[in-house]
Amino acid sequence: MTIDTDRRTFLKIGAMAAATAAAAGTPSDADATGLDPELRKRMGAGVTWDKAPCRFCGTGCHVQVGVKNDKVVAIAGDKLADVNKGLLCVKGYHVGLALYGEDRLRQPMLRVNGELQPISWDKALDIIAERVELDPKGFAYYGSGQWTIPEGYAAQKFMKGGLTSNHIDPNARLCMASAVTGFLAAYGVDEPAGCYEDLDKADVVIMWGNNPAEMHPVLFSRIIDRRSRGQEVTLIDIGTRRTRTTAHCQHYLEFKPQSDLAIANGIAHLLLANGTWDKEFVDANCSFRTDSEPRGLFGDAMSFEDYKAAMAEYTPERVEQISGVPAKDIRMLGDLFGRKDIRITSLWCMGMNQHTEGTAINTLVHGIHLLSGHFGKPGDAPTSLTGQPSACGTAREVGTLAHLLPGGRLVAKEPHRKDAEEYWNLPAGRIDGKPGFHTLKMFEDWCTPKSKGGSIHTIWVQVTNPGQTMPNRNKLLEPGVKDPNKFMIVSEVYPTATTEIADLVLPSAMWVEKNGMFGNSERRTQQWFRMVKPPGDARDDCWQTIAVAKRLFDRGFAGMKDKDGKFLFHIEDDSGKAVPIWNWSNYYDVNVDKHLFEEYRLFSRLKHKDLAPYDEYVKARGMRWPVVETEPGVWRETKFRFSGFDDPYVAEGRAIDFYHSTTGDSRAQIWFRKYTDPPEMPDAEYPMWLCTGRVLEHWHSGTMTRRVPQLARAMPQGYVELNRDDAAELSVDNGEVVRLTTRRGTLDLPVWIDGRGAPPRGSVFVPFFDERLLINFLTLDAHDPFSKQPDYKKCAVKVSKLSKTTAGR
Amino acid sequence: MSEEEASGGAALQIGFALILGVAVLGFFVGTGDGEDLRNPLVTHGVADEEVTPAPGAMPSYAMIRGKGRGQDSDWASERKALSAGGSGEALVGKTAALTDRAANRAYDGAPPTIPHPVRQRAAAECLACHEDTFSVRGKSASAMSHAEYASCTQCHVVSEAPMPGAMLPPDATFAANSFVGMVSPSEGERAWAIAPPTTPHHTSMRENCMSCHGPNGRDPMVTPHPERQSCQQCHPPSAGMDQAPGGAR
Repeated sequence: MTIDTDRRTFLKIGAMAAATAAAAGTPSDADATGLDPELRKRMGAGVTWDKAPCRFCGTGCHVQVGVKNDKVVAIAGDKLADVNKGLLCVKGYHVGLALYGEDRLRQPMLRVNGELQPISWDKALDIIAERVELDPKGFAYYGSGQWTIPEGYAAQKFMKGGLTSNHIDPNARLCMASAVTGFLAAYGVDEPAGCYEDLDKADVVIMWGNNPAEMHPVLFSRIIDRRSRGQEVTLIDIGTRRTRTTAHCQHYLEFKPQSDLAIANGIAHLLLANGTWDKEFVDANCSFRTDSEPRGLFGDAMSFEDYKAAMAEYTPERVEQISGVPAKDIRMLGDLFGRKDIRITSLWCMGMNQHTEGTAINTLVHGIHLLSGHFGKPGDAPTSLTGQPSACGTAREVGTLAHLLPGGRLVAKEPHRKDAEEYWNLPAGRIDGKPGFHTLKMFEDWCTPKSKGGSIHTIWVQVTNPGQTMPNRNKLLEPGVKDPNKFMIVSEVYPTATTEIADLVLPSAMWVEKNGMFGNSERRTQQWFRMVKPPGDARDDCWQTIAVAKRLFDRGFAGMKDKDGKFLFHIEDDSGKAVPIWNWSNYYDVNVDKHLFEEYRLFSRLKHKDLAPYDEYVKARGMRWPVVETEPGVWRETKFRFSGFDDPYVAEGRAIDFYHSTTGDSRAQIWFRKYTDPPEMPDAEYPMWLCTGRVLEHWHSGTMTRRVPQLARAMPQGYVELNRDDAAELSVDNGEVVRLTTRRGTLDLPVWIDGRGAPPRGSVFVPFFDERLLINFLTLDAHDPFSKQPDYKKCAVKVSKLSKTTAGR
Repeated sequence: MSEEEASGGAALQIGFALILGVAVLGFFVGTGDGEDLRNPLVTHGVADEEVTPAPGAMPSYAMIRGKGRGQDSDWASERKALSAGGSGEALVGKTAALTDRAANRAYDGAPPTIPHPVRQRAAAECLACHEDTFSVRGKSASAMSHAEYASCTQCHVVSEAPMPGAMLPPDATFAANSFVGMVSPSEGERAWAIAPPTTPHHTSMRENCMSCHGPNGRDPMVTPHPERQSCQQCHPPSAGMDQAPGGAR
């Protein structure tokens, strides 16, 4: 149709079109336009948007969730969020799809003669109550850094306040525990002092064995996008293999596994030798510490002279010998840290935490920042990045660990137990002072028959997948699975490697199918409301704990009563009437999250991790604690902890105040810890290093992301990264299946040369997201002595050529 | 001056004048419409009927000059009419365009998946084709719809397995995903039949309108007025969808 520009004709067409439109109805009428009505239905009309933190990593991006007809139909980056400013990563953009895999669990199921059979919730609650009554001391709870804060808090209160049992531990034990012990040993209190603004201000950012381009993508692009704005930022990748992160760095320092300890000491050595350590900062704010005999978390005091003498060994040449990093590069690091005119941020994650000397390396990196004075100013920060969305907010702050109570308290300390007993209105002595089993011990004990002293008979797993993520699975899972006296309850959303071995499976609500709160890696507590209903008869994890508690209460279990005989989870509405939240149909009559959070908040003052009232988090895109009320109704978050210019708890007149110092004198501890070899190193029989880890597309064990088509297509299968020269030596082609064997297990995997990552000679890397290629049958369960965190990053493996072509076990 | 010198000087002057004259004349002759040596069919003046240039040759200005504006064999527009409703042909085009877009986007606003292999580890060379739009042999690499970010593969992943080697058969339990994503709108709302439509999608990550609506975009989406550069002057975005004050929470 030609466009006739004659004015009269133009107006004629306009009039005719208007008449037609008027006759046909509104533009949203499918018939008038003739457009496919199915397509028309999916368009943006009628979509409501609300905020939520992303379900995935510890960055804690905020998303806008588009909902229509009780279904998530779209996701957008939340432009009002300080963390991500409207940007997401591929997992975040597809987080809405994670709810809709067609094999969502919809009905509780009990394993009968090897098969899972559907049962009612009522029956499931009875079964769990029976397992508790069997022996409350043998009932354990394995929780998660992906638990919402109220979920973790309910489980914590149930176990420690109800069952008088400390056998509750989170999967964060496998992920962040060494970061926690590192913080405690250095500063006396957990969690980073800085925040993400450090990334905007740093001149130098050092990656210590982590791959943020894939694992904290939005934080990484926050740094590299500064270059597009003309800012100069130097990135240094200290790593054991080349990754996507390396591609953006100016320097790549390849080190032999474990020798990060030597590199950190090498930097300290140079600061001392060159006289460029920050004498003023150290004199005002630090003391020195070393391992005691026997080794303990808090060690012994050390004089500066002894510290200097201990570091003397770690010359650049010696460090090169241990680590393989050229001495000139160690000198470069020493020079950088010695400079006062630049700001340096260190970032780390699993490379330093999943480490048999994880506490040590954490304290050493804190130490070089303290020694050089690169601390406490925006851009100068030793920043531990948290992996899970709420390892901080739930596991660490609510204290769902075997030795902790909420708010940084210890079960072993009587005043702390008294606090909890007071807040929970419990009779004195209700809480047990003896720490329970940490994760590895919990599963080891569960795998030990009762006759041989295995006291744990039941583990209730929520929001995590130990069937795929426990190291050395042959030792830490199979024996318990085979023992008929052992029982596993699993609250899950999809069939996983854990539901595969579970005795009782409970279908759970997921992400925006429930109210929730998370606490991210920069101390930011975030909140969201339920937006869609869960499928089938799936119910909130928090409700499940409360319902079991009520079932026990009804059966006369004394522990579920507070000291006035009231139910532990007694909740009243605004008029003072009790609400039966243990009935699923009444659960959302009140906001249970809000009630639990307001109770939990009270705990947060002790360690100055003050939390604001729940309603403040409703309004905000999260707030970083300590949040203090500067005037009535006005709440101010804290960006830089321990710094006088921002932290309200810093003593008057001080620039820096470590007010939870382990030595009680406002000082942080600069540690000396020596380099030691890892427990298993390559030898003649197993000549290569095996490292495991993640990829961008898949969240942890892939149970959610492998059900998202865009993510699954982009990364459909596990593989082994093999060095090109090693492959040539083995006569192995790209894509060929090889056999990996460690002392613990065997797995056949296809080779990928120069793919997503490139390991050096003598080293292989396997991602753990593929449950069909379960690498944790091969990994080592040796752990850090203080954090009890296992080391997934280094053990000895042999790689052999095969004739067959299918991967698997 | 001597007579010989004077006459020699005069001859020189006449010579120069002649040369100059020839040059000037030659200049004007050369810039006039000469015979088109390449195309003996072309004649001077207005051509009433269409005259097709020989294959490979360009039409001359003389050929084009006298014609009215509009399509002919010399240039053909493939734009379909843009109006509420429109002809059957336009609708098929719209549905096809929307379906095509939805094929590599989980929902309207999702980062499209990459329909070709990319290097998996090294920093991306995406901008070589996607900084500005680029078409070759009927395929278009659209220009980025958003400002440049340094880490393209953070949001855009490939749509086929990047690793070599045989794939394990897919798990029987890894059934389909029933997510049905919001689809790009087919047109914006108009206050009256030929009013400028409002922007019916959020503009987050879509600040560069020409990425989809420019000349290399899908047919039904191509703007009829690419010469206008200030799109939001007439096509306002949605406060709700763009999180402007008063919009979404």
